Amino acid sequence: MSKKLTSKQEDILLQDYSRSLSTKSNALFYGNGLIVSAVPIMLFWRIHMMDPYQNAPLFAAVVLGCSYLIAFAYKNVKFVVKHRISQVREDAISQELTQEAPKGKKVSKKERDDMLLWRKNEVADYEATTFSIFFNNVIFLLLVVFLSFFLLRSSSNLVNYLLSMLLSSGFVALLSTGSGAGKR
Amino acid sequence: TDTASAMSQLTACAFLIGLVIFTCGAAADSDGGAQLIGVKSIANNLIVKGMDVTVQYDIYNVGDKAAMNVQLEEDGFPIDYFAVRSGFQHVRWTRLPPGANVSHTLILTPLQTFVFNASHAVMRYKVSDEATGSTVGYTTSPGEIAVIETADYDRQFSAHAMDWLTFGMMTTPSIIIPFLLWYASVRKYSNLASHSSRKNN
Repeated sequence: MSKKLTSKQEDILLQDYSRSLSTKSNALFYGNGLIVSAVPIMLFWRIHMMDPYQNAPLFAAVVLGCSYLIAFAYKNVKFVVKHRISQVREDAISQELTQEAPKGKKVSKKERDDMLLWRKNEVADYEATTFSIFFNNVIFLLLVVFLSFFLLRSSSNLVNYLLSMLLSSGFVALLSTGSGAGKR
Repeated sequence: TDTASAMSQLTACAFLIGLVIFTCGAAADSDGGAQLIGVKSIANNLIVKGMDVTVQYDIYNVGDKAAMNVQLEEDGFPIDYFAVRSGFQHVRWTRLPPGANVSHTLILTPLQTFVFNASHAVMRYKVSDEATGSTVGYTTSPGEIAVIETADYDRQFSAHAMDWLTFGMMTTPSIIIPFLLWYASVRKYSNLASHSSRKNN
């Protein structure tokens, strides 16, 4: 006979297995994507000597496009990593809850299971978010520097900027859809 | 036939006269006199707007006598396009002995970005003490030179150390902060997990 889940457990599980993000997570991802996409402008301005005022429309368009792709990558990597983390952290979180439980007060098994599920989701969400941002930012920035200063060094500034930014963000987005990222 | 013979006699006379003139000329050359060769060269590999250009003049006396009152005149760098940083565009040496040479350096700063034809400078000198008039000679011409923008030069050659440092500082928050937050959580729960496994053992 299957065990019936409480509505709270259902909510946590739905949240856990859903790709949809809260408003806060969305804001965090798009905000970070915007910042990390805008940082290379400084390189193209100071080293490749691209005038920021003349190229402002180009910069704006490319930054918006790259922000979207990077935020997409953040979401995908977070989704994959979150499940792995929640499996790995179960024992540690259980231990933490035991330590935090007020001495003398009896906690029912149902309450404890709810707490464990909720805390597991919270920790996995936090770690997956921070890891996803770190991982994707490193890959994106390394690729931009490599493409811009090695592969596309002899290209014109316009081609250099377009290709290095879009290829890097595109690669990061593509990488995020790799093994496990698309599976539930 | 009278006309033909007159023509042939005229031709013969003209040839003889020409031969005499040539012989006299050769004799005059073999009398000696100063002969100057001038080399004008640009020391820079790249000519950049706002950066110094070094123009080197070398004058060699390959003649038998000392060249007197040697003057070097450089009017090939217009003031609208070049500013003189060091050296003179009109230089004079009193005497240049045979077999000797002199050098002169002119340092200029290009004021604009353009393609410039660097032509010869003019040398005036007397071939000997006794000579009455001046002889005019020309230095070599470096040819066409392109003055490039400072931005293009910096793009290619500048180390941009400060720019890279600034870029590093700007990327630090996007990389270090998420890493530290993630690592702090990983360490906390790894310690808890290892503590728990030690307790069970």
